Amino acid sequence: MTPLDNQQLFLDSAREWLKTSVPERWRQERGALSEDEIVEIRHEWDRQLFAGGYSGLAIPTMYGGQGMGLREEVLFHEAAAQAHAPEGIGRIGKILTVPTLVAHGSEEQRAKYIPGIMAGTEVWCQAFSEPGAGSDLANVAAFARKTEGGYLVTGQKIWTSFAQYAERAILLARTSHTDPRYRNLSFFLLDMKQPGITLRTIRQISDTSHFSEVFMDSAFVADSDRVGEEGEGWNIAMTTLTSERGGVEAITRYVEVRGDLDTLMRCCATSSDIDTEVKQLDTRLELVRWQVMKALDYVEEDLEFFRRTCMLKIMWSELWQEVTQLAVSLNCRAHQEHWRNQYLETRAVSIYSGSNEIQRNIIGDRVLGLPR
Amino acid sequence: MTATMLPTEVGQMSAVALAEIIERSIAGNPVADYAEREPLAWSVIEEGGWDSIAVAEEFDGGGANLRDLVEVAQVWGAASIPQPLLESIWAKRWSAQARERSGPISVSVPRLGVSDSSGLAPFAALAATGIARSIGAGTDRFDVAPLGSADTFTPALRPSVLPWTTKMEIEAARELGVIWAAEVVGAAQKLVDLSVAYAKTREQFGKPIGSFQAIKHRLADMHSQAQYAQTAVIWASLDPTNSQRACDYAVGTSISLAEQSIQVHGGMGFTWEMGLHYYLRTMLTRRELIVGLWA
Repeated sequence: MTPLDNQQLFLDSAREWLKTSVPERWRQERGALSEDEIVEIRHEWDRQLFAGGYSGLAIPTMYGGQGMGLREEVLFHEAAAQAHAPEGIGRIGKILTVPTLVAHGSEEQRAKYIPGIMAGTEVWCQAFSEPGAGSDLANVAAFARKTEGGYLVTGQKIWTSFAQYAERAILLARTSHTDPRYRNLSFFLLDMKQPGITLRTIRQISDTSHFSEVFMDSAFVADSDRVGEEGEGWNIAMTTLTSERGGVEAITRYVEVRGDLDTLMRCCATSSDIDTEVKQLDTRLELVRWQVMKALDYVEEDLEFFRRTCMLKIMWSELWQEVTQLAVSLNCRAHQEHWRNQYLETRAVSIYSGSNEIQRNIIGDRVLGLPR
Repeated sequence: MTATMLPTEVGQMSAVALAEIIERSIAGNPVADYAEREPLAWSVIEEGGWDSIAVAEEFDGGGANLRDLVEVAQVWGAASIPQPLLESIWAKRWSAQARERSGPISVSVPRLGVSDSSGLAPFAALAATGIARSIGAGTDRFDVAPLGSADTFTPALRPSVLPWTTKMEIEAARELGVIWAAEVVGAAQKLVDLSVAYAKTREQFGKPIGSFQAIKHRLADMHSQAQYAQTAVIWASLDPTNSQRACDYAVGTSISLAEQSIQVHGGMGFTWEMGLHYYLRTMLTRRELIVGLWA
C-alpha cells in the first residue's frame, strides 16, 4: 500500500467517524443553543476526539499523540469543518501549549500537562497580549517577582480566549528590570484557578464576548512551571506563535469562509453586476486551500515551508472580510442577521493572531530578508 | 485530493538543468542585454534534447507531464529567452509530425477584436521557426517561417501576424494555455526577486528603501501574490475543469506584480535599459495569446 492509499484510508475513516460523532444538536440547532450549552458541547467534543483517536494527530506517540504528520492533521481539520463539527475549547492547549512543551519543556512538564490536553480534560488559554503590548508583544509589562520556590506574578493580560474555562495559561511575563529587550521575558505555565487571578469579559463590537481580560495580583507560579531558562521567554513564544500561524488554522478558516461564500453564491448574490467579483473571491478562496496543500510538500524544510505558509493568515482574513463586506451590502433579507454579525465579527480577523501589519513585517524580515 | 503537488523527478531535474544552461548562456546579465539578441542558439536546445522532454517515453522522449512542464516553463519565463522552446516542447508532445521535424516550432493563435481570420504567432519573426497549421487534429502540417507583419511591441517573443491560425485539439490548446501561464508566473517571480534585491541596496534618506514599511509591506504582498500565482498554475495543471480560471488569475496577478515591480524600482523602473518592460510586454502579449487560445 502506498502512502497515498494510507492517507485516503485515513480520510475515509475520519469522515465516517465525523458523520456519527458530530452532535445532532450542534448540527441542527446551533443558533438556538445557550452559551453554556455551546461550551458544554465544545468541551465534550475534545473528549470525543480523544476517544476516537483524533486528538493530537501530529503529536508524537510518546507524548500521547497519534504520531502522524501535518498532512493528516490538515486533512482531518478540513473534513471536520466540512462535517460542521464543533471546535473544541482545548485548541489553545493543542496548537500552542503542546508544541511549546515538545520543543522547550522539561520531561516533567510534558508528563504532567500533555496527557490532560490530549484527553480534553484540561483547558488552556494564552496570556500574552497586554494593553501596552499588542503588536509590540516584546513590551510585556506583567512582572514575575522571584519568591521562595517560584514567582509571584502581577499585571494585566487582555484578549484571552477561553479564560473562564481554563485550568491553566501559557504566560509571558517579565523577569528582569535590567536585561535588554527580547531577553527580559520568561515563559510560564500559570494555574488559572487561584485567588490571585480575576477575570473580566470584553464586550465586542458585535455585542458578543469571546475574550477576557486577566488580572494577576501576586499569582504564584512554581519554578518547575517555568519553561526554559529565565530570559528565554521571547524566543520560546516565537515558536509558539509560528505554530499558531500555520496551515491547520488556514484550512479550518478556509472551510468557514467556504460556507459563507456558498451562502452568498446560492442566495444573496443574485445580481449579475457582481458576478465577476464573486467569481474572483471564489477563485482566491480555493487558492488558499491549494496553497496549504502545496506547502505540505515542504513540511520537512522549515524555511521553505514558511515561505509558502507565511501569507495564509493575511489571505484568508482579508478574503473573509471582503466576503462579508460584499454580503452585508446586498440587503439579503433571509440572511441579514447572519451577515450583520459576520461583518462585525470579521473586523477582528485581520487584528488577532498578530495583526496583518505585523504579519507583513514578518514576511519582509524573515522570508525576504529585508533590512529592519 | 491527498496527493503531493510536486512535479515528477523528470520535471524537477529538467528545471534544474535548464536553469543551469540558461545561466551559462546569459552569464548573469539582465534581460535588457539579450532580449533583442540570440543568447541561446536553437542548436544548443535541440542537441540537448530539450524540445523532447515531454514526448512520451514510448517515442523515446523524456515523458514529462503537464505538471512538470509548469516547472520548466517557470524557469524559462524567469529568463525570457527569445526562443520558442515551450511551444516546441508542447508541439512534439502532441504531434508525431512535430517529433520528426528539426528546428523550432510555434503556433498561430486567433486574435480577438479582428474581423478576419488572422492569427498572432510568437517567434514567427525568427527566421527558422516552423508554424504549425494543425496540432493534434489529424495530419499535422507546418509552414516554415511564413511571411507576416512583425509585431515589434514584444521583443522577447518576436511575434508576427499571420493570415491563418493553427488548428488545435481542445485538450492540446488547454495545455498550451497552462504552459504559457506558467511562463508568465516565472517572469513574475523573477520581478519580485529583482524588486527585493533592489530594495535592499537602493538607499534614500540614508537607509535602504526596503527598511521602510511602505516598501516592505508592498514586497511582502508581492511575495504572497507570487506564491498564489504559482499555486494557481499548478492547480491549473492538475485540475482540467478549473484550468482556465486558474490561469486567468495567475496571469492577471503576474501583470499586477510587474506593475508593482516598476513602482518599487522608482524612476529606474521606468527606463528602457533597466529592462523590466521586456517582461511586462511579454506578459501582456502572452495574456492576449492565452485569451485567443480559449476564445
